[in-house]
Amino acid sequence: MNITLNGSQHTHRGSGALSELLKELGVNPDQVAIMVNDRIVSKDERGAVQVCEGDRVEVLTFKGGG
Amino acid sequence: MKHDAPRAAVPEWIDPGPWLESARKAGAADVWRALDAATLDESGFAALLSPAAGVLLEELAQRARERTRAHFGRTISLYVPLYLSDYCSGGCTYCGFASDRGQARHRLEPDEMQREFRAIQAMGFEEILLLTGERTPEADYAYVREAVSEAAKHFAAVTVEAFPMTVDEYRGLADAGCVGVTIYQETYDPVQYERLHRWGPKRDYAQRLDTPARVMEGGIRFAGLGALLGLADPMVEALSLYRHAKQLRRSFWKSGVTISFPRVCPQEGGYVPPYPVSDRFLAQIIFAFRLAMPDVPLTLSTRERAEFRDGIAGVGISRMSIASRTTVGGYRTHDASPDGQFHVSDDRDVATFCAALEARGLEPVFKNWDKVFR
Amino acid sequence: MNPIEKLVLGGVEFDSRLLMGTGKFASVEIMVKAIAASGAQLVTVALRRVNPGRPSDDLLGPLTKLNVTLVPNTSGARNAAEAIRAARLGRELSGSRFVKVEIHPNPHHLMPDPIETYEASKVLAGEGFIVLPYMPADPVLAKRLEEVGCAAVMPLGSAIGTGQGLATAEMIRLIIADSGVPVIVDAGLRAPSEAAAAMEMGCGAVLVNSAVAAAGDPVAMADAFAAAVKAGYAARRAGLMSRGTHAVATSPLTSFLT
Repeated sequence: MNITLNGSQHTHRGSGALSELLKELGVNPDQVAIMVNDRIVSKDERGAVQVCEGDRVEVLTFKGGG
Repeated sequence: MKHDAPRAAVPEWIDPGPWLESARKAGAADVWRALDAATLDESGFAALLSPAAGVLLEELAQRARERTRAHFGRTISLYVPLYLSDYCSGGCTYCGFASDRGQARHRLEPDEMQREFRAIQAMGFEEILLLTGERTPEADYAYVREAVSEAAKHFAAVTVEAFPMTVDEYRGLADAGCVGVTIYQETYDPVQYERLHRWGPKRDYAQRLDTPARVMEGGIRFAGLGALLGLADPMVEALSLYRHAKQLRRSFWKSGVTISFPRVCPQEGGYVPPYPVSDRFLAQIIFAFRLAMPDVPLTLSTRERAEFRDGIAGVGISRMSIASRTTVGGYRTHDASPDGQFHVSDDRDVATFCAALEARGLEPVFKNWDKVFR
Repeated sequence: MNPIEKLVLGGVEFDSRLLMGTGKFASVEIMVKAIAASGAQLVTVALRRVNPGRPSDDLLGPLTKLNVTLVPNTSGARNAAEAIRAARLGRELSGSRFVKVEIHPNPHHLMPDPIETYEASKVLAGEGFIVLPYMPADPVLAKRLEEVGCAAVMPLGSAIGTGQGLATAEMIRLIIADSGVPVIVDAGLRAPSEAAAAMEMGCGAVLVNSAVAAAGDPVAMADAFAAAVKAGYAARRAGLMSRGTHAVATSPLTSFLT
């Protein structure tokens, strides 16, 4: 399915489960915060959220900053 | 029998205790350090009150004048007090209006008020201070508010020195055009306070102490603070007053404080102050406040002699009254009767006083600012 | 001498009065060493998008090992709504109630937007965040931010990254005089002496990043800032001596006093 990931087009080749998406992106689930369609998905909620066609997904992590 | 001693406690936020020692024992080095500091805290202020600072009084004066000039220019703001009423329910030992004094009581009726306003306006004043005693049926909140409302039609600035009010009452005064409320603690020493305020609503130290905060919460632009010097250890008074002013500025940043330095003069008939304050020490206290709070208007009334007032004008003091009558009304009739609230030591007229200021390079200012909307 | 007091932010106590940023370091390894050398207990981090397929250095792991409190910032936000969202995401990831509200719409000088900063701080303080707002050195704004529940105010010493030191010193003095919360100088510092000067003025803490990250030896510079902040704080407690020798004037101003 096609989604917008961090502002760019991304084709997800899985079921839409967040765990699958993160695996596909090669990121450690403990090091990211996720937002789907402007809604923050807490770590507890991740298992229950499915990404659908056209969704806007943000995957964020900490970088250096002042 | 129950003693009421536990009520006589100084709240931590104004307690001068921790700094009294430095106020008494600071050395010259401590004083110089305070003089050179960009900003002062309690210990610096305490050092400026010390005997060692007294030796350096001229240096304090020089620097106080620099600060006064920087913030207020070469000007002195003038205001005039008008006693609306001398009815009083209070029992302040030191006051000529106390309720056990035998004199007949008066209050200004609306038509008399108008005539007094016009007489004062004719003298050139744009700022008026309206005074009453403690709350009485004759001079209650409605009476004061009405007076403010009327005065605001004549004067650019109306201030009030009356009785403690509620926040809502102060908000009402602000709406009526009041820009400042003066409410002296009289003494910050709770033991002396209870001794001197023998009855009436003013007996409650804590209630009195919280009043300036209510003034500011009610949206009044300036709260006037002061201790009646002579009633208790002046070191305690000055330090507590400093802490009180500082706390109020922190808590209510949209309002300002003014500080006055009323002194009970020993030569006055009737009351002999237990802690008389000398001219030199009064000047030192004023300089210390100027250095610690460079942007706060410091006020001196006509309680003080002409020589003292002329000498300290612009050297710390930035705001003064003149041509004061301390009896009810009295401007229209030029009455200077001896039954006033306190003895007027500087009884010069406006023109003479202004000439004295001008001779010292100071411009008398009758009007400082206008409200945007009236 | 005044007693040593802890830095208290939102009811949480800290021994260190130096806060560190984590940006602009050559490597995570140097950053970690510099933070350790600084003794900082509060460390700011930024939130950024991950690059798919290009995993970046992990910051969270090493910082967790340092046992510091993370302060996610809202950099990148250009208005209050974006900052609020960034703060919530930051809390989700850090588990920390601290947030540094940082909103700079102009990409060149990066000066903080006072109005958006105020709006975001109000909302976040209401949500239980410990809000540390990065702000212009404005005494009125400082009281406004205190009023809406900020745990500190963080006026800039000079523009971010300029290293111009305490260009706003006189405004910061006014802020300190009336502030009921700690004043933390953030941004613009270059030399440890400037951090010491800020502490001597009465600041509660200082926050540095570029000054350490861009120093010749960041780890040694972090150590120098730590020492400077301690020295400045100690000097404040001790009370500075007076300047030079003093000649006492004759008495033209006090001759009226008998």
